Amino acid sequence: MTLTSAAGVLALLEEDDSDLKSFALSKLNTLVDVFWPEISDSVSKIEMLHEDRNFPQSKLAALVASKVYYHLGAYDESLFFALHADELFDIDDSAEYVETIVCKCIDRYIKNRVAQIDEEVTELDERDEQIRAKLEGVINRMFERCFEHRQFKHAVGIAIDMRRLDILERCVQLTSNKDELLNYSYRLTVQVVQNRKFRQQLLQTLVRLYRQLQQPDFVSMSQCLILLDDPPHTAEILERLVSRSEDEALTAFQIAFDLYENASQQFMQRVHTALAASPLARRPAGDDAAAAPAAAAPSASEADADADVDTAAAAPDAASTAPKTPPPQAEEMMTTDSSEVDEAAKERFARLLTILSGEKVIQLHLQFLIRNNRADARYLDRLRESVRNSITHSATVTANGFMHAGTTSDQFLRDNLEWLGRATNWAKFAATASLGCIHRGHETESLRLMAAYLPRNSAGTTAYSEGGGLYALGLIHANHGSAVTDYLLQQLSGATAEPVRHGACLGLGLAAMGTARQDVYEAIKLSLYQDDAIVGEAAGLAMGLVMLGSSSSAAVKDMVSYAKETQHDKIIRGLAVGVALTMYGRLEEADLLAQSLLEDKDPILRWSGVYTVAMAYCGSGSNSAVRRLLHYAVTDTSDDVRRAAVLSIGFVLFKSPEQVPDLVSLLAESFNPHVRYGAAMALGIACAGTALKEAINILDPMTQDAVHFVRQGALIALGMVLIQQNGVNCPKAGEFRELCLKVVADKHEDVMAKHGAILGLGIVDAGGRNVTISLQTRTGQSNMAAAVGVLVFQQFWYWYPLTHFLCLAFTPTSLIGLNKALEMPQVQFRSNAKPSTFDYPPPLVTQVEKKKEKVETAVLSITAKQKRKEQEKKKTAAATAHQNQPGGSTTAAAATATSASGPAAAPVPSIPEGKETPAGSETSSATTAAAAPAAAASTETSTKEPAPASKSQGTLTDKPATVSTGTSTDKPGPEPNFSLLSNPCRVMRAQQRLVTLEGGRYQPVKSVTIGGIIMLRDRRPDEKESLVPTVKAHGPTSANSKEDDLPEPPPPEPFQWSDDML
Amino acid sequence: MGTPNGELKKTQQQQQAASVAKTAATNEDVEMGDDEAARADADTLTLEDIKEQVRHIEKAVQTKETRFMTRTVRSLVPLRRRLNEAVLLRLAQAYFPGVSPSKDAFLAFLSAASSGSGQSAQASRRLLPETEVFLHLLLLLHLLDSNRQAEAVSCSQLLWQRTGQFNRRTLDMLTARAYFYYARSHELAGQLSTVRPQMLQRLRTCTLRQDWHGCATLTNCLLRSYLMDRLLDQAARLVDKCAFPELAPNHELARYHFYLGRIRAAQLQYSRAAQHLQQALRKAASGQRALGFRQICTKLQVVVQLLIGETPDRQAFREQGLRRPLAPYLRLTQAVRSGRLAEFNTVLRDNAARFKADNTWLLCVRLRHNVIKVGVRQVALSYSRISLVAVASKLQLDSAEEAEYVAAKAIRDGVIEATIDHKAGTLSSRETADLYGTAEPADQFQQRINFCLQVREQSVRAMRYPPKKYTEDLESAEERREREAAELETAKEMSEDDYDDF
Repeated sequence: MTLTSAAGVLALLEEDDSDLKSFALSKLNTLVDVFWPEISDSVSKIEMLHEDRNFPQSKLAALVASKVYYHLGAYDESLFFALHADELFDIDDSAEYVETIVCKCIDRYIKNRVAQIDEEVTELDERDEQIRAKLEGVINRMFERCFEHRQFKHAVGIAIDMRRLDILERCVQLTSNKDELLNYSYRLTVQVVQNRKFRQQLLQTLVRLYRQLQQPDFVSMSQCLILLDDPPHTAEILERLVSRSEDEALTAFQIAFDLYENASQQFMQRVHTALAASPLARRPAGDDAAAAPAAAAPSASEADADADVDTAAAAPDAASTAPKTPPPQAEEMMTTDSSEVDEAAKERFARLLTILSGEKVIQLHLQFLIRNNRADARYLDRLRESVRNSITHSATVTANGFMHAGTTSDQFLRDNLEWLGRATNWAKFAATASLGCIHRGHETESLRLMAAYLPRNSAGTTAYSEGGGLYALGLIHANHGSAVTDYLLQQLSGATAEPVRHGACLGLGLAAMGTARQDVYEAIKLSLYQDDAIVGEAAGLAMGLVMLGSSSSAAVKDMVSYAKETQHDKIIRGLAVGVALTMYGRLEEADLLAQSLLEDKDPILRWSGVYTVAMAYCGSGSNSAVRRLLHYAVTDTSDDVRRAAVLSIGFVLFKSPEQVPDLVSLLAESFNPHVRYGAAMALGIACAGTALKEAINILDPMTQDAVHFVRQGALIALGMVLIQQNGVNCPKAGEFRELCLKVVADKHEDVMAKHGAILGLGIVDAGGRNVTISLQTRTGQSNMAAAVGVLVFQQFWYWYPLTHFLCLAFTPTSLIGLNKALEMPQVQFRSNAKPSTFDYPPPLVTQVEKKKEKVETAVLSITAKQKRKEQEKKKTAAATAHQNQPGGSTTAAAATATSASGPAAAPVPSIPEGKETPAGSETSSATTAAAAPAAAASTETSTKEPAPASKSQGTLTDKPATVSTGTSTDKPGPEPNFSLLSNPCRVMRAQQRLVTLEGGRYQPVKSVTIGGIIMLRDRRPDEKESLVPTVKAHGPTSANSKEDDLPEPPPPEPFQWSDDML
Repeated sequence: MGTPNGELKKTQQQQQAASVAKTAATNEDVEMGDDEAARADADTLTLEDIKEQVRHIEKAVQTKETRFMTRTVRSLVPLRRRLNEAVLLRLAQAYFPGVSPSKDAFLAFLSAASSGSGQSAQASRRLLPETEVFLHLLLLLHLLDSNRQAEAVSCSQLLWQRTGQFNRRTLDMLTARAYFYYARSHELAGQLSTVRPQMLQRLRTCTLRQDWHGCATLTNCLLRSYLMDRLLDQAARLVDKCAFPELAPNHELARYHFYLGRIRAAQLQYSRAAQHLQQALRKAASGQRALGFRQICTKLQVVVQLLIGETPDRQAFREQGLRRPLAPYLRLTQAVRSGRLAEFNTVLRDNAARFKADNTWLLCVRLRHNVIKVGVRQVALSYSRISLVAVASKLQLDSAEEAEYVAAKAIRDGVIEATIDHKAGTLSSRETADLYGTAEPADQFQQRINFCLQVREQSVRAMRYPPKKYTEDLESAEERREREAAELETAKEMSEDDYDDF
């Protein structure tokens, strides 16, 4: 006979005798699962029993009440009573009730802790107060269980959710695999934790834990320190590593390279100052200039003197001279530790400084880009032929800037000077600025390069080209501009013409990006307050650039209040972007500002609010930010705001590009063309360089959209998505190039779409096909400069010259191995994929010339040979210089070279003023021509020098991709499954994981699959290393390759000799 | 056993018998004599159909689309009619992997398995839990249909345990069916009350996992079990304490409303009961399907409506399939409507057995009061003033006091608008208020509007938007652009022509 009701047992609760009640409760405890609907009517009685202090079984009452509430679905109440049941609530039980309540317990605890720590709510619910201690007890018991079962990863995950740093530490102490757990925690910290404040605490803990390891993982540690914004400690680690041994110095160098890649300019400077204070940095007063990074800016004369000398050689050179002739002061200061070891350490320290100052990285990337430049000028020629209008003309010049970004090859401009002369006014400004793109990173000679356009020598130049020149200077030195900041400041204060001040502001903003230098900021603000629309726009933007990511409240106040005051839309727009930039990466700190902007009645300020959200949550993938943006994307009344809101989704979600197509697929079909445009751009930004199929599927139909600017956006976005892809990996890439050419040539196509097509073409082949667009660094952190570049690039909608900002986002896809002297040794990397998969796209085939394709492969080896000859010449020159006295013969040679070209001749093409054709281009080509025989002459002597082994290696490695292309085109046989790439090589993102280091001599400090600059440990330090020779900027490669691209003259027809022919 | 499931079953079995006869007839037509081969052919066809359903299941799991699963669940009814041991054996061979405990358990229920036609066709893929549950369900249905109740109970218990091991949302619909047949097999074996704790526990699990199908089915099974044991109180409490899932399928919703109707009617909440019963009828399948359910539901509804004082629609008694079973209720209605107590008593006497079988007897007895009330109303409508003695005689009541009591109750309940004059011993009616002057029409109207809006909302929710359908317009956009370009071109040419003319 089964029981049909619990009424009888419940009646017992009414009794006075507590024994009876206890009996009833224990009975109810077993019955509750079946009769809970009935018992729930009397739950208040049970609660009263629990509260009755005299009742012996009050805990049992709590347990029964908890179970009843659990069945009723009131989990909060249930949890409350379960906790009061204390030991009766057995968390080790596997019953569903216990599991559920423990889950709720964890949820509640997380909520409380988050409220307490993130939102600083000190006063909890009264009820929460009561159970807090008990809650913590249960949680701790759960953790103990995790430890018992050695589920440390679970524990760490929950501990981070619960903001329990103590548990995290315990986990690390208890686990056997500390490295893995720490790395896991680090990943969680970076990717999951959204709250900035807690993240800082977490990182501090992690750093401490890393420090406690037997063999501290300095690479990860420095990553944490960057995020923590803690330069002194970073400096300390670097110093320690450098001072220890040669081997550990390699790690230090590697960290320094990573630092430079990931950290802001300001951070790097502070690391520098911290390092400069160390005893190792104390060096002869005379050489201080070379060592101290702040003063590393070479004056114009120095730059001239160093023109031909490789800086890599110069840096150790300077370092090696330093200890040899220590001045008496230094001797006095450190009499005790001037041992040999110390000298070596000092030398290493000097090398470290060159890395940290960024010179080395920029120089290596420049070398890489110059060496591997594969830009296909035929596309540009095709564009030039079909361009009829000033907008498309200007776009073509910009596209050229993109295609040759960082390669220093301005051959196209040289060849088409007359055509280039059609650019007038602001088009001229933009054209001049495009030189900045081309020479990006070519810092040592920047002033000389741009000399023809800078205000100082403004004999024949106009204000537009002067302004463009200053802007170009900024682009060259973008995010690394301590060298030119003062020069630009001076120009800004001296200039009167609008375009010049406009250019100066932009240049200054770029050069002083993220430094938060007050003097610069004040100078720009002065320009802003003159209330000139054109200057104000640039000034607003520049203020934001200078204060990038500082969240400086004073700056924000200045900008917002002026934006509300001024009448000029242009100025408001400039400031709007500026405000957004100021809040870069500040996450929830920007919420208040963003909210107030988003609620403004001025659409431009709302637009600024949208961008503020985008920048503040850049790369965070924050759901709340995306929700906010989506809200404005569909509700705002202003088209501009909606467009910006959709586009901003790309910024927030760029770390998970695969999510974006789904998210914007409906928006891409919106009735509103601005929203469609925004969707296209969001895809372009988030999926840049990924060639994601879903993104292409959405963008592809948009290239046929009914509205012209949507087509423009789709073409640009496709260019960004397909950058660097060849036809093998992604068939769409080939079609896209065709499509762009078709759009440009189509007579009926709208000029906006043509503009998009031209830019798209420029982007897809950017940087000589050796760069990709990436908003995150290799280690997965946000790349600040790139994000800024892409954001400001988007402003081309209002102001075409801002298009050039995109070149900030170009990241070389390089793999560069360096030895301990920071030189590139000759090594090979093996790419375990069919060569065609990651090959450069084939050159454009025109109907007129069919041989071109074939010629290119034949020619490259010649170029390479010539390159090598030159290098060897230079090396011998450098070697002799080294032996004798520093800067001896080479500087003399350089001096002669420069004197030969004459003071007026600038080594860049000058954009002709009106119809005047300058002699500059001729003279400059004359210099290169003159340099060639000299190089040939010197190689005669040097060829004997290298050992035969290295020679053979040299011939192998010197033709980088030709091995693969040769096999794929010439031989019909099966394609090999791998290809060999020689040291500074192009490795695409998808290719990275397939790359291994060849040969046994070198061993990488970190895995080569990460790519970028990798330090190599030499296993046979006694043997002589063969180094990769450096190439000269825009010298041989650009000039020669252009010539080489032309078909060889055909051999003469077979003929028969006859006397008649005479 | 007047509960809807019983009725359902009955009709299903009738239909099944009919269809079996039909197929047998067609088989005879086509293949004379060779009976064996014909059966083998039919088996193969059945097997193919089942395999088709399994493919649906796989698709449903792969795409996480519930609609494929709905189709499969719906196919269970037609499939069960065609099942036999041979088919099940072949299914087991085809789908279960070589040796597994679940296969052994499966084969243990098949008598043909021991003789073993050794077709050990290896299962090609891993067996999905969904497929396994589906096959197991088929087996259980077969056992139920072939009246092997003891085996069905043990089979359903196995299935119950197995389904408890998975936590997959794609499985929900199938497990819900499994729960239903678990309860059903126990009910047939007369053990339904013993499995109540298990069902309550599983109900909790389902709620935690947000398995709405399981929740709905289990709630109904529990209610049924309570009502069978006449534990109305327990049932009412369960209903009060448990929210019935909004996403429950229609058939479960219909059942739930029916049970609620019964509970509320017993609790004297007639108008709520009427609402529930109306909902139940609305949600029930229409046409000739679920006829038993509609019969029992209509019977109850008629009685409840009478209890409220409403007169049921005449149409309800005429519907095909309902006319004969509802005949006693028609007579009952007529008696109540006329307000004649004597006639009412005779109807009750004549049909007592019928009403008891339908579980409506107790409610019918309560109707006596209503009969009197109707009488009072008619009196109040007919006379502006009447002595209570006259009322007593008209209503066949014993005394004037009782008449006064009845009249007072009627006034309090709002059945009539009248006052009682104690001293004079009369009942005087008030002028009937103009109904259209009150908010009543507006309220009624509002109710209907709400209902329509609800229907609309539900249908909008039920709509499906095929993915990526919107891209199809884009081609036309391109065409439009081309056309515009061409138009522009011709316009240009025309304007040039104009210039030429000058």
